[in-house]
Amino acid sequence: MDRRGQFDVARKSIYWGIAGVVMTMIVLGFALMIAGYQNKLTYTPPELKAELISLRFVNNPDCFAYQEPITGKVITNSIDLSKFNTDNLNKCYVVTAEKAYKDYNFRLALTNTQISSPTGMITVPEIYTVDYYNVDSLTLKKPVLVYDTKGVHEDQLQIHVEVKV
Amino acid sequence: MIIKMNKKGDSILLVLFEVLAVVLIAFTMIRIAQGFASSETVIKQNTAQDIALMVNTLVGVPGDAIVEYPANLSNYNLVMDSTSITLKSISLPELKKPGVDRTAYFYLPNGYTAGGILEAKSRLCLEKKSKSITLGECHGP
Repeated sequence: MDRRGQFDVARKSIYWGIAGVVMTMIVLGFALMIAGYQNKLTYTPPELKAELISLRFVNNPDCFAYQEPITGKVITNSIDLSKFNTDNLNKCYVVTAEKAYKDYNFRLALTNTQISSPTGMITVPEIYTVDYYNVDSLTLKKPVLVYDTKGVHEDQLQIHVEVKV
Repeated sequence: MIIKMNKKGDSILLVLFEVLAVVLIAFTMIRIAQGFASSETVIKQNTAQDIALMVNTLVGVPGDAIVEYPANLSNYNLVMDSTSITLKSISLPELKKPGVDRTAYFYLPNGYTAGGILEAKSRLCLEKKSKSITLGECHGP
Protein backbone atom coordinates (compact mmCIF):
# COMPACT_ATOMS: atom_id res chain seq x y z
CA MET A 1 0.00 0.00 0.00
CA ASP A 2 1.47 3.36 -0.92
CA ARG A 3 1.37 6.42 1.37
CA ARG A 4 -1.82 7.75 -0.19
CA GLY A 5 -3.57 4.41 0.32
CA GLN A 6 -2.51 4.34 3.97
CA PHE A 7 -3.87 7.86 4.44
CA ASP A 8 -7.22 6.82 2.93
CA VAL A 9 -7.51 3.84 5.30
CA ALA A 10 -6.65 6.04 8.30
CA ARG A 11 -9.20 8.65 7.21
CA LYS A 12 -11.89 5.96 6.87
CA SER A 13 -11.05 4.67 10.35
CA ILE A 14 -11.66 8.11 11.82
CA TYR A 15 -14.88 8.38 9.84
CA TRP A 16 -16.10 4.98 11.07
CA GLY A 17 -15.07 5.80 14.62
CA ILE A 18 -17.30 8.88 14.61
CA ALA A 19 -20.04 7.21 12.57
CA GLY A 20 -20.12 4.27 15.00
CA VAL A 21 -20.81 6.56 17.94
CA VAL A 22 -23.45 8.53 16.01
CA MET A 23 -25.18 5.38 14.77
CA THR A 24 -25.23 3.86 18.24
CA MET A 25 -26.85 7.04 19.53
CA ILE A 26 -29.41 6.95 16.72
CA VAL A 27 -30.27 3.31 17.44
CA LEU A 28 -30.61 4.00 21.17
CA GLY A 29 -32.68 7.13 20.52
CA PHE A 30 -34.91 5.20 18.16
CA ALA A 31 -35.41 2.43 20.71
CA LEU A 32 -36.23 4.96 23.44
CA MET A 33 -38.66 6.76 21.15
CA ILE A 34 -40.51 3.54 20.38
CA ALA A 35 -40.55 2.57 24.07
CA GLY A 36 -42.05 5.99 24.85
CA TYR A 37 -44.68 5.50 22.16
CA GLN A 38 -45.52 2.08 23.58
CA ASN A 39 -45.86 3.61 27.06
CA LYS A 40 -48.31 6.14 25.63
CA LEU A 41 -50.39 3.34 24.12
CA THR A 42 -50.51 1.41 27.39
CA TYR A 43 -50.98 4.40 29.68
CA THR A 44 -53.63 4.09 32.36
CA PRO A 45 -54.73 7.40 33.92
CA PRO A 46 -53.83 7.36 37.63
CA GLU A 47 -57.24 8.88 38.42
CA LEU A 48 -58.96 5.81 36.98
CA LYS A 49 -56.79 3.34 38.85
CA ALA A 50 -57.11 5.29 42.11
CA GLU A 51 -60.88 5.55 41.68
CA LEU A 52 -61.26 1.80 41.11
CA ILE A 53 -59.00 0.88 44.03
CA SER A 54 -60.77 3.29 46.36
CA LEU A 55 -64.20 1.77 45.58
CA ARG A 56 -63.41 -0.81 48.26
CA PHE A 57 -63.11 1.82 50.99
CA VAL A 58 -66.78 2.79 50.81
CA ASN A 59 -68.41 -0.35 49.39
CA ASN A 60 -66.69 -3.32 50.96
CA PRO A 61 -67.71 -4.23 54.53
CA ASP A 62 -64.23 -5.74 55.04
CA CYS A 63 -62.93 -2.19 54.67
CA PHE A 64 -65.09 0.65 56.01
CA ALA A 65 -68.54 0.15 54.49
CA TYR A 66 -71.39 -0.16 56.95
CA GLN A 67 -73.18 -3.51 57.13
CA GLU A 68 -76.54 -3.72 58.83
CA PRO A 69 -76.13 -6.16 61.72
CA ILE A 70 -79.54 -7.82 61.40
CA THR A 71 -80.05 -8.13 57.64
CA GLY A 72 -76.39 -8.23 56.64
CA LYS A 73 -77.15 -5.67 53.93
CA VAL A 74 -74.16 -3.56 52.93
CA ILE A 75 -74.80 0.16 52.51
CA THR A 76 -72.82 1.40 49.52
CA ASN A 77 -70.92 4.69 49.79
CA SER A 78 -70.93 4.47 53.55
CA ILE A 79 -68.38 4.58 56.35
CA ASP A 80 -68.73 2.69 59.60
CA LEU A 81 -66.85 4.95 61.97
CA SER A 82 -65.90 2.04 64.23
CA LYS A 83 -63.92 0.52 61.32
CA PHE A 84 -62.27 3.76 60.23
CA ASN A 85 -58.72 3.28 61.50
CA THR A 86 -55.22 2.72 60.13
CA ASP A 87 -55.15 -0.98 60.98
CA ASN A 88 -58.27 -1.64 58.94
CA LEU A 89 -56.96 0.48 56.07
CA ASN A 90 -53.77 -1.55 55.87
CA LYS A 91 -55.75 -4.79 55.99
CA CYS A 92 -58.04 -3.48 53.26
CA TYR A 93 -55.29 -2.33 50.93
CA VAL A 94 -52.30 -4.59 51.34
CA VAL A 95 -49.10 -3.74 49.50
CA THR A 96 -45.89 -5.63 50.00
CA ALA A 97 -43.59 -3.51 52.14
CA GLU A 98 -40.53 -3.69 49.88
CA LYS A 99 -42.25 -1.99 46.96
CA ALA A 100 -44.97 -0.06 48.76
CA TYR A 101 -43.30 3.29 48.07
CA LYS A 102 -43.59 2.62 44.33
CA ASP A 103 -47.30 1.92 44.51
CA TYR A 104 -50.41 3.87 45.18
CA ASN A 105 -50.66 4.98 48.78
CA PHE A 106 -53.64 6.67 50.35
CA ARG A 107 -54.50 9.20 53.03
CA LEU A 108 -58.17 9.20 54.00
CA ALA A 109 -59.95 12.00 55.80
CA LEU A 110 -63.54 12.65 56.81
CA THR A 111 -64.13 16.39 56.64
CA ASN A 112 -67.20 16.97 58.81
CA THR A 113 -67.27 14.18 61.35
CA GLN A 114 -66.21 14.86 64.91
CA ILE A 115 -65.52 12.48 67.74
CA SER A 116 -65.16 13.10 71.43
CA SER A 117 -61.72 13.02 73.01
CA PRO A 118 -60.30 13.92 76.44
CA THR A 119 -59.67 17.44 75.10
CA GLY A 120 -63.17 17.84 73.66
CA MET A 121 -64.66 17.28 70.23
CA ILE A 122 -62.07 16.74 67.47
CA THR A 123 -62.15 15.91 63.79
CA VAL A 124 -61.69 12.22 63.02
CA PRO A 125 -57.94 11.61 62.65
CA GLU A 126 -56.68 11.00 59.12
CA ILE A 127 -55.56 7.48 58.32
CA TYR A 128 -52.66 6.44 56.10
CA THR A 129 -51.47 3.38 54.22
CA VAL A 130 -48.02 1.89 54.71
CA ASP A 131 -45.29 4.03 53.13
CA TYR A 132 -47.40 7.12 52.65
CA TYR A 133 -44.96 10.06 52.46
CA ASN A 134 -47.30 13.05 52.10
CA VAL A 135 -46.63 13.46 48.40
CA ASP A 136 -50.18 13.78 47.13
CA SER A 137 -50.65 13.39 43.41
CA LEU A 138 -54.42 13.76 43.33
CA THR A 139 -57.44 13.90 45.58
CA LEU A 140 -60.73 12.09 45.14
CA LYS A 141 -63.82 13.32 46.95
CA LYS A 142 -66.70 10.99 47.70
CA PRO A 143 -69.99 11.87 49.38
CA VAL A 144 -70.60 9.24 52.04
CA LEU A 145 -72.99 8.32 54.84
CA VAL A 146 -71.17 8.02 58.13
CA TYR A 147 -72.55 5.56 60.66
CA ASP A 148 -71.50 6.06 64.28
CA THR A 149 -72.98 5.35 67.69
CA LYS A 150 -75.21 8.43 67.46
CA GLY A 151 -76.73 7.51 64.13
CA VAL A 152 -76.00 8.45 60.55
CA HIS A 153 -75.02 11.69 58.85
CA GLU A 154 -73.71 12.88 55.49
CA ASP A 155 -70.04 13.68 55.04
CA GLN A 156 -67.35 13.84 52.43
CA LEU A 157 -64.51 11.34 52.29
CA GLN A 158 -61.33 12.87 50.91
CA ILE A 159 -59.00 10.30 49.43
CA HIS A 160 -55.55 11.76 48.88
CA VAL A 161 -53.59 9.56 46.51
CA GLU A 162 -49.83 9.27 46.36
CA VAL A 163 -49.14 7.73 42.98
CA LYS A 164 -45.38 7.44 43.31
CA VAL A 165 -42.75 8.97 45.55
CA MET B 1 4.00 -14.18 1.25
CA ILE B 2 2.72 -10.64 1.49
CA ILE B 3 -0.24 -9.74 -0.69
CA LYS B 4 -0.23 -6.11 -1.51
CA MET B 5 -3.49 -4.47 -2.35
CA ASN B 6 -3.66 -1.39 -4.45
CA LYS B 7 -5.73 1.65 -3.58
CA LYS B 8 -8.69 0.52 -5.69
CA GLY B 9 -8.82 -2.81 -3.82
CA ASP B 10 -8.81 -1.00 -0.51
CA SER B 11 -11.72 1.19 -1.58
CA ILE B 12 -13.83 -1.75 -2.72
CA LEU B 13 -13.25 -3.53 0.59
CA LEU B 14 -14.19 -0.42 2.54
CA VAL B 15 -17.33 0.12 0.46
CA LEU B 16 -18.35 -3.51 1.05
CA PHE B 17 -17.75 -3.05 4.77
CA GLU B 18 -19.83 0.13 4.78
CA VAL B 19 -22.70 -1.52 2.94
CA LEU B 20 -22.61 -4.48 5.34
CA ALA B 21 -22.59 -2.16 8.35
CA VAL B 22 -25.52 -0.14 7.04
CA VAL B 23 -27.53 -3.29 6.30
CA LEU B 24 -26.76 -4.66 9.76
CA ILE B 25 -27.77 -1.43 11.50
CA ALA B 26 -30.96 -1.14 9.45
CA PHE B 27 -31.84 -4.75 10.24
CA THR B 28 -31.18 -4.22 13.96
CA MET B 29 -33.32 -1.10 14.06
CA ILE B 30 -36.20 -2.78 12.27
CA ARG B 31 -36.02 -5.74 14.69
CA ILE B 32 -36.02 -3.41 17.69
CA ALA B 33 -38.92 -1.45 16.24
CA GLN B 34 -40.89 -4.63 15.57
CA GLY B 35 -40.24 -5.92 19.07
CA PHE B 36 -41.25 -2.74 20.82
CA ALA B 37 -44.08 -1.55 18.69
CA SER B 38 -45.85 -4.77 17.77
CA SER B 39 -49.51 -4.55 18.62
CA GLU B 40 -49.13 -7.93 20.32
CA THR B 41 -47.09 -6.38 23.11
CA VAL B 42 -49.48 -3.47 23.52
CA ILE B 43 -52.56 -5.72 23.52
CA LYS B 44 -51.02 -7.98 26.15
CA GLN B 45 -50.04 -5.07 28.39
CA ASN B 46 -53.44 -3.40 28.08
CA THR B 47 -55.34 -6.64 28.66
CA ALA B 48 -53.31 -7.49 31.75
CA GLN B 49 -53.88 -3.97 33.08
CA ASP B 50 -57.62 -4.17 32.29
CA ILE B 51 -57.98 -7.43 34.19
CA ALA B 52 -56.05 -6.05 37.18
CA LEU B 53 -58.43 -3.07 37.22
CA MET B 54 -61.39 -5.44 36.99
CA VAL B 55 -60.10 -7.30 40.05
CA ASN B 56 -59.79 -3.98 41.92
CA THR B 57 -63.36 -3.17 40.90
CA LEU B 58 -64.68 -6.56 42.04
CA VAL B 59 -63.07 -6.02 45.45
CA GLY B 60 -65.09 -2.81 45.64
CA VAL B 61 -68.38 -4.60 44.99
CA PRO B 62 -70.38 -5.72 48.02
CA GLY B 63 -71.60 -9.28 47.57
CA ASP B 64 -70.91 -11.71 44.74
CA ALA B 65 -70.47 -10.71 41.12
CA ILE B 66 -69.39 -12.05 37.75
CA VAL B 67 -68.00 -10.04 34.86
CA GLU B 68 -66.95 -10.98 31.34
CA TYR B 69 -63.95 -9.44 29.61
CA PRO B 70 -65.23 -7.98 26.34
CA ALA B 71 -62.55 -9.28 23.97
CA ASN B 72 -61.45 -12.52 22.37
CA LEU B 73 -58.46 -13.93 24.26
CA SER B 74 -58.04 -17.19 22.36
CA ASN B 75 -54.44 -16.28 21.42
CA TYR B 76 -53.30 -16.09 25.02
CA ASN B 77 -52.78 -18.10 28.14
CA LEU B 78 -53.62 -16.31 31.36
CA VAL B 79 -52.39 -17.08 34.84
CA MET B 80 -53.74 -15.26 37.87
CA ASP B 81 -52.63 -15.50 41.48
CA SER B 82 -53.39 -13.42 44.55
CA THR B 83 -51.09 -10.58 43.54
CA SER B 84 -50.95 -10.47 39.74
CA ILE B 85 -52.26 -11.49 36.35
CA THR B 86 -49.88 -12.65 33.61
CA LEU B 87 -50.60 -12.93 29.90
CA LYS B 88 -48.58 -15.27 27.74
CA SER B 89 -48.90 -15.73 24.00
CA ILE B 90 -49.63 -19.29 23.02
CA SER B 91 -46.94 -20.97 20.94
CA LEU B 92 -48.22 -21.31 17.41
CA PRO B 93 -46.07 -22.64 14.57
CA GLU B 94 -46.68 -19.45 12.59
CA LEU B 95 -45.43 -17.32 15.46
CA LYS B 96 -41.66 -17.57 15.53
CA LYS B 97 -41.34 -15.94 18.93
CA PRO B 98 -44.06 -16.07 21.58
CA GLY B 99 -43.06 -12.62 22.81
CA VAL B 100 -42.62 -11.24 26.28
CA ASP B 101 -45.08 -12.14 29.03
CA ARG B 102 -46.95 -9.17 30.45
CA THR B 103 -47.92 -8.90 34.09
CA ALA B 104 -50.11 -6.43 35.95
CA TYR B 105 -50.43 -6.24 39.71
CA PHE B 106 -53.38 -5.70 42.04
CA TYR B 107 -53.78 -5.59 45.79
CA LEU B 108 -56.36 -7.62 47.64
CA PRO B 109 -57.57 -7.05 51.19
CA ASN B 110 -56.43 -9.48 53.88
CA GLY B 111 -58.26 -12.79 53.66
CA TYR B 112 -59.07 -12.44 49.96
CA THR B 113 -57.68 -14.81 47.38
CA ALA B 114 -57.51 -14.74 43.60
CA GLY B 115 -56.50 -17.41 41.15
CA GLY B 116 -57.16 -19.23 37.94
CA ILE B 117 -55.68 -20.35 34.66
CA LEU B 118 -57.20 -19.88 31.23
CA GLU B 119 -55.63 -21.53 28.24
CA ALA B 120 -56.53 -20.25 24.78
CA LYS B 121 -60.20 -19.64 25.49
CA SER B 122 -62.10 -16.92 23.70
CA ARG B 123 -64.25 -15.79 26.64
CA LEU B 124 -62.85 -14.81 30.00
CA CYS B 125 -64.92 -14.33 33.12
CA LEU B 126 -63.93 -13.08 36.55
CA GLU B 127 -66.15 -14.28 39.34
CA LYS B 128 -66.22 -12.99 42.89
CA LYS B 129 -67.69 -15.34 45.46
CA SER B 130 -67.40 -14.18 49.03
CA LYS B 131 -63.65 -13.47 49.44
CA SER B 132 -62.45 -15.42 46.44
CA ILE B 133 -61.94 -14.11 42.91
CA THR B 134 -61.64 -16.71 40.20
CA LEU B 135 -60.54 -16.38 36.62
CA GLY B 136 -62.11 -18.87 34.25
CA GLU B 137 -63.98 -19.52 31.05
CA CYS B 138 -67.44 -18.00 30.71
CA HIS B 139 -70.36 -20.37 30.48
CA GLY B 140 -73.78 -19.66 29.08
CA PRO B 141 -74.80 -17.09 26.46
